[in-house]
Amino acid sequence: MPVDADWKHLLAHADRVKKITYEEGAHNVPTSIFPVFEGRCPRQWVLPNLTHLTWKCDTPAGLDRGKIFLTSGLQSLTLEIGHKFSNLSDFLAVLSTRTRLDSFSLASLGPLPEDFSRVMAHQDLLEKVSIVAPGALDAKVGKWVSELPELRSLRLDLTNQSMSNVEGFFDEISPGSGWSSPDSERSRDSGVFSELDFTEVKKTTAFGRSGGDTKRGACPQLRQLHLTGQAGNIVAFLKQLAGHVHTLELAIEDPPEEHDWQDLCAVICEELSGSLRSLRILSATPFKQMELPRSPGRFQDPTARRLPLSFFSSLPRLAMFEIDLPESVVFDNSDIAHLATICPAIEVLKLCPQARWPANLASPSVTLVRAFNGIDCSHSLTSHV
Amino acid sequence: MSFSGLANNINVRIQRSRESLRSTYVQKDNNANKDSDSGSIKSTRSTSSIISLLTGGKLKHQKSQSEPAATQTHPASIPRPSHTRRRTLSVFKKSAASGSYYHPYTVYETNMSPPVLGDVEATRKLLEIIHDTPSGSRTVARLGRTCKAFNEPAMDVLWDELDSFLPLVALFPGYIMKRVRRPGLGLVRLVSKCCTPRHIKSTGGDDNGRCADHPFDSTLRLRCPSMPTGSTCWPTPTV
Repeated sequence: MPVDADWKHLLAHADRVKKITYEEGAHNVPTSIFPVFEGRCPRQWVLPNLTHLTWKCDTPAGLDRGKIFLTSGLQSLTLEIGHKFSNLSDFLAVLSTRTRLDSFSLASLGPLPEDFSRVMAHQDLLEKVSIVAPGALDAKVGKWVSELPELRSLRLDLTNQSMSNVEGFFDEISPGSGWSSPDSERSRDSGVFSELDFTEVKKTTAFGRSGGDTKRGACPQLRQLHLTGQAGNIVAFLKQLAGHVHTLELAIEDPPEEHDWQDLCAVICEELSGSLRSLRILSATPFKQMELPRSPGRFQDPTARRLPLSFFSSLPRLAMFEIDLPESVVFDNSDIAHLATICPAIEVLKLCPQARWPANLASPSVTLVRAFNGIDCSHSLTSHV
Repeated sequence: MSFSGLANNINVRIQRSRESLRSTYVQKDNNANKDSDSGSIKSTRSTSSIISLLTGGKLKHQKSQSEPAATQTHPASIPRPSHTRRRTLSVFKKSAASGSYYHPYTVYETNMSPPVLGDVEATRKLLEIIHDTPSGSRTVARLGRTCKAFNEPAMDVLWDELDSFLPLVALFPGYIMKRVRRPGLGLVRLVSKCCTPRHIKSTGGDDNGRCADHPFDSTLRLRCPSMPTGSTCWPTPTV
């Protein structure tokens, strides 16, 4: 075992370490070194000046090893874990007692612990939250997120969730603000059916939630939003938000259903037109992963579909607009002309710049001359079409 | 002249010649002391000018205040590279006169002026930009090894962000951590100092040479180098 003199060089350089990443699956460090760090180190913390910690582990024991690096100066934690981590709640409890983070990211294949929101209640200085795990759309999690006063950036995964689950995220949010508006559902209650609980009925049927009159104005402090999932779920989520988001990044399944795409365009313009400055629409499935099934037949051309942009009505503050989808790559001159009309502040426009154009399809109808014929370039415009 | 008179005459001449030699030596010593004093002052000025160049002039004022006192009280303690400087300057003059492009290294050293070292933040930003370039870590490491003034900020930038615990763990002495020879894996494994045959015998280890203080751990299958051939030891610390 190392004695105090053996720690001299390590501790001298450990003071300089601000960011560190541990990946258990890499197997580049023996796991037995962590008990040595914990029990034999001459000082309390091996990395006392650590501010950013990225911890990727496959076993519960690997998660426990991360506790010895949860120092009071830690500002950002990125946690990636696998299935069946029963000690996640303990880890988060230790995290909350020792730190007050600015950024917290959790990606888990297993469900969140039931007391997640209670354990994380101490973390009230969070500015950036990312939760990709089963149970992330729980109403308690939504309440915790909405009550973070410094929250600026939120990332959630809505993939394979039902509409009622998505809307359940907002069930406990701000009961006095959105619900008390004259348009809200509860205000319509005359008292005749007050003793009946319609909560489950509403959840199972999504009754009345998809309408435009149920906006709650949740998370008014939010500025950047990253959502992944089906377009319909994203529509349901965006309807509940306050319209102060200026950066929206959506990872949708490609190609989207036509009516979902239409709803998505409409909701973006209705709810966020006054604040939205950057809009990115990406594919929920990575390009490489999508091409894997096709790899045996490399001669097969990629599918190309039309994605109409005419459903966007008005985005007066939008400066950056990017669409990068693998299949929905067909645009025409009318789309460009329509964007030029509804987005007067546009500066960067990218429409599937890296898409593979199929050989069996005719050449793209968008030409440089026609596209910029009707655009008023009062400011610099960068386009990738 | 008698023999005794001749001997006295010879002794007197020898005595006079000794005195004249002594006076000559004393005079040369005095001249040498004067030269050394003047040379030390010059050397002090040249050293202070180098320091002021390296530190952006921050230490210049302090050095000029301490110069007279140091010269008067401890002239012998001041470094005297004056002969070196004279020689290099003379070589420089000769090379300049002859049109040669060769300049001694010391001339470049005295002309070097990195004022960026005077600002800690600027130095750090500069090194971070270098670190972000392709193979920037190698470049920053070379900078840290080349110049003492760059060493600390370069180390701060190099150790600021780690992709693994491997660089840290590798700082343990060689008898504790041992690198696996297979390239690409970068494995570092723990070696116990106590797992000598004598220690195993004293702790009542088993027949396979396993130390009783260190129970089996499947993550470490390491043969202790101090062990006899064929024996193994798993030095996992007890938690």
